[in-house]
Amino acid sequence: MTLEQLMQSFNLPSIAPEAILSIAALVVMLAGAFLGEAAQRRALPILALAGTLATAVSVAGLWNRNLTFGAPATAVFVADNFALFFKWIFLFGLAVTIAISTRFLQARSGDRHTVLGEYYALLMLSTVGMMMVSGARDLLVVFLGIETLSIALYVLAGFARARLMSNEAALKYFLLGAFATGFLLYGIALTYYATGSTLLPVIKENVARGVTGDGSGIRSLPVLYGGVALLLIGLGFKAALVPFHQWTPDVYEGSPTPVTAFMAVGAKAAAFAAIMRVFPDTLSSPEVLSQWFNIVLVIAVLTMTIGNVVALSQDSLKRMLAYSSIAHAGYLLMGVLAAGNASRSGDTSAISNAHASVLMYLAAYALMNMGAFAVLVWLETTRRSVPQSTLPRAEDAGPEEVNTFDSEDANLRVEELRGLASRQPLAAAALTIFLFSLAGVPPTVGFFGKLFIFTEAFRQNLVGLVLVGVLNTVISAYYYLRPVIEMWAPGDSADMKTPDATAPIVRVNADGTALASPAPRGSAGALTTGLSPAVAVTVVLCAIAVFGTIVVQNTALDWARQAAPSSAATTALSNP
Amino acid sequence: MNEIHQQILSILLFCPFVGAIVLALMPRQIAREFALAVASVNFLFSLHLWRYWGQMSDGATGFKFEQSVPWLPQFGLTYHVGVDGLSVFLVLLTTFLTPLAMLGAWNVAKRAKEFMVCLLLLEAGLVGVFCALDVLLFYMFWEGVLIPAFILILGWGGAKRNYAAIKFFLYTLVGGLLMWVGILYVYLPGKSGSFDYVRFKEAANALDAADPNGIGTLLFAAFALAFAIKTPLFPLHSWQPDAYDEAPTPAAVILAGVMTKMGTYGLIRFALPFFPNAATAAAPLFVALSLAAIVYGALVAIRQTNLKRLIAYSSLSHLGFIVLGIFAALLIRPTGDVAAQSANLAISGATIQMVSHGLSTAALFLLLAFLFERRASSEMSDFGGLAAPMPRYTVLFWVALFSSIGLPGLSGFIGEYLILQGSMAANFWYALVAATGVIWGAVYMLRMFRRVAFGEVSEANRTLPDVNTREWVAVGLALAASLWIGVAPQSFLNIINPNTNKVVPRAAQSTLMAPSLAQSAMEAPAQSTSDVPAAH
Repeated sequence: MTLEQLMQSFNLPSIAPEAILSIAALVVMLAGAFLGEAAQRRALPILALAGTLATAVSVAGLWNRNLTFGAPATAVFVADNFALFFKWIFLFGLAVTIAISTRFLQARSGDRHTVLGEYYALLMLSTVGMMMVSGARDLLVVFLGIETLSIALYVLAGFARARLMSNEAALKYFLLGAFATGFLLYGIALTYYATGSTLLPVIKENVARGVTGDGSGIRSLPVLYGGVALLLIGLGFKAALVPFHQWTPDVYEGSPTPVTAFMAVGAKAAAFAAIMRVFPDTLSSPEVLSQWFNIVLVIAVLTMTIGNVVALSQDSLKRMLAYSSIAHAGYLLMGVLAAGNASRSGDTSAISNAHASVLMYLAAYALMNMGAFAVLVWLETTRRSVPQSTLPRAEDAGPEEVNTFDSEDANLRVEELRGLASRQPLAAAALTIFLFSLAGVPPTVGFFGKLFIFTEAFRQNLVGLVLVGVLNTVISAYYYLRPVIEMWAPGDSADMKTPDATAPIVRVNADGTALASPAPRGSAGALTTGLSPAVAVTVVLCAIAVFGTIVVQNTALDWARQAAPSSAATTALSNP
Repeated sequence: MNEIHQQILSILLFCPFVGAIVLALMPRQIAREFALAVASVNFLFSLHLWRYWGQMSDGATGFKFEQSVPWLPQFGLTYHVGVDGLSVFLVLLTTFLTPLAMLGAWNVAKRAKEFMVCLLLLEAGLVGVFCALDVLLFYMFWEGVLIPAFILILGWGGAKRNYAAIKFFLYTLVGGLLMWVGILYVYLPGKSGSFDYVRFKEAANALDAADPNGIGTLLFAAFALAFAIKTPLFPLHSWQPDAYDEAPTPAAVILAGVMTKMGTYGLIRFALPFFPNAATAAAPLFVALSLAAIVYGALVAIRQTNLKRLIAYSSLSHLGFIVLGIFAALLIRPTGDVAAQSANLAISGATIQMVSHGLSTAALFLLLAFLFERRASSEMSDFGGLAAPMPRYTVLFWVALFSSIGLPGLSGFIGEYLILQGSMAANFWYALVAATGVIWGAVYMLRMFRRVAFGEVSEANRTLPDVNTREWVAVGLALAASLWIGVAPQSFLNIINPNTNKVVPRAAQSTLMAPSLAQSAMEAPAQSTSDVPAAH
């Protein structure tokens, strides 16, 4: 069999993005092994970004081609628009993470000899896993993708090896994640028994046939429901839905901040890709749908409400964003439920709209959340270490967490933002924009995300859910505003003396590194590496995009709608 | 010229917005001058509306200077702006008061640049609110203006600013989100399928006509609640004294002068025309609440010792007048032309009162800002006998006060008179109770004036400098505008009147022009027989 025949039969271009990104990851890893440390710092991020860009180009090339990997009827992997739209989101998350990681790793890992090659390669391989999930047309591919992305993330969560909290995060994530994987796999097994296949279109057909004696439909309804429940637990864990969210705050808080950003956006989006494929798209027969629908409804309400209410009482900015990301998963579930109701009715334009709303919300969420975390990185790298005694301790920080590294690395508290608008106006303005966007205040992209998702939920008669969502928006406004209040409040007298009147916001040194305006409460011997220009550029670009994208919403919504119906993945393909 | 006519509103909207962005990137030394230049130029631009008003004919939708650009066509969202007689003066009020507020904030001690950026963004948002003809676009501006207002209170406010700012934000947000749910309900397919004003209104009217007591009332409540909170209407006003008191005084000029009009404007532009039946059913409640606001606000104002809080409560009272005029118009029985005239009169009065209250409150807050600049206090007990060291200030204060009370010859009189006459047609007792508010108004205002201007001059006040040219110009302009409306109301009413029957559609049934009390008194509405909204 020649390569050409192979290309023909497997349709290799359909996996081009995954292939390119994997190769790029290997190149980065190898380059890391052979380059010196200084050269690594310069070259690796650029290499990694180049790989990301190449992947993005290949994704763009596949748009609207609906390729399948192998014969359309039995293919386990597709490159339909739905998958490609998700790939855009993953690649955006990856690119931002690479950009904001550069100096952060060195500054905050407490480890001078971080292996950069591994870091970037793991990020990229994790993204490959996410991309696999988004294109999966078979439960086993979902499983493979989720494992690929998770294993890389387990390592990344503990990448700041010298920090206890990072280690704790990695271990917690790994143990609980492994447990959740067990649920997922067992769910797949039960579903396989009940429907006779792991291929989503076949499952869909068999589920639609209902219980038949001859084995062509559902073999056993209880087993199917058991399997569906376990699938929901497994995927719910990855998406951090309540009550499977317990790991989230600790892992998000302990992981290096760029990794947290990557997890909060990429892993969550991947889990939602799988949820969309499996639940509204596959388990869409009225009988089965009504079984999971009410459960997911309850989960959606719980996820929104608990995420927001607990976020109210957080002092650590990172932990607050962790809970806020849980709440956002709740809003996303509204879109999933709308899609479920739409596929029950079989109205293709309604299905397409509901899918589009989830995609648009995820894109908006990725943009504003990455931006917020990028500002967090900015503030962490420019913050001089504050003597522990001057900081109020978090109530949840037990005495065992006090050690040399943690005392330098205590997470940024909301009170520490006081007077930031005077010290670092650019960072303060950007964070304000991201927080208002997360709260869904127009005219930001976050408002449009909510607009689409609430509208579709409303259209599908989920009025009660919309009202819960609206109430939650009010609750969330309160905690999103707290940092804004601190930032814009006039600082204490020491801050007021900071001569910020005419000073440029970021001073760029001769060697190209930028130094932030001096922090007011600096102490001697502080570990500060200064602001990386890449972080500043990323923050500014994201902030502009939060407003700017509303001008191109039009195009984005068109894309999302093209991406949406995705019948390619869920029904046996009719050949073109 | 046609192109400019189409784009003038966008220019008014984007000029301060772009100005704010440029200002943010500029050095601090010339921030104030630049901001003032942008705002002044924008005001000059806005005079275009006034200059060419007579030459423009109403578009198909009953608005002038319209511009419509599809934004999210798949979603039914259009960038659609336009003005009519009900909104044009609010646009002008915004562009007029913003430079004055900047003059008032000339000596803001710290971060003057950011302050000016926020004021410019506020101006852009407010112009958007008053000229948006797409309901979702309106909602976006409605919520969007919260951001600069919130930051103004936070960054430059008084001691309890955090509490005041978050209260202000959450109150408005709750109302706004419920309105949003209402908007989505009307929008959904089978109903409007579009957010554009005219189509949205048709869908809302249909819903209202089909079930005025059920869904119509719920939807009206969703809209009216948002507007009532923003106005604020008794008993939803508790955010207001805190917000005005804690806000930096120059920002309070815009907050009290323009932002409160968002609520009353929303009532006459959206809530009433959309759900006329439900609104009529609810009108007695709103009339009762507005009467309560008039009396309660005035009585509480009498007891205030803080000047800013006093003005806040007096605003509550004056805005009660506006709401009274709007809802009394609904309660006038449609028994002929006199009733229709009276209803239109009440709406005209409410519209002119919005502008008038904006001008007089702005003047008062500017004057308080000057005092605060000199003494860092707004407590009445800190002042007294200012007539001796600050004679010119006292004169300005005197005029501003009378404009607010409603002395004939100043704008407050025109608005209150028309409202009282309109509500008299609805029910004699409405007018009687409301008229006591005018008396109470005189009581608290004159009491304040006596406390501030006369009496012993304390040592601290003996050497206060009188108003300088900048201050004189800022307040003088606002008062001159007030005087102009008071002396020549007809030029304003001529623009407002043809649009008043958009608000109370039943009044539009009038086809004959009978001479009426209204006309003889005010030479008021030359009612056109063309029924603008019903044409679609």
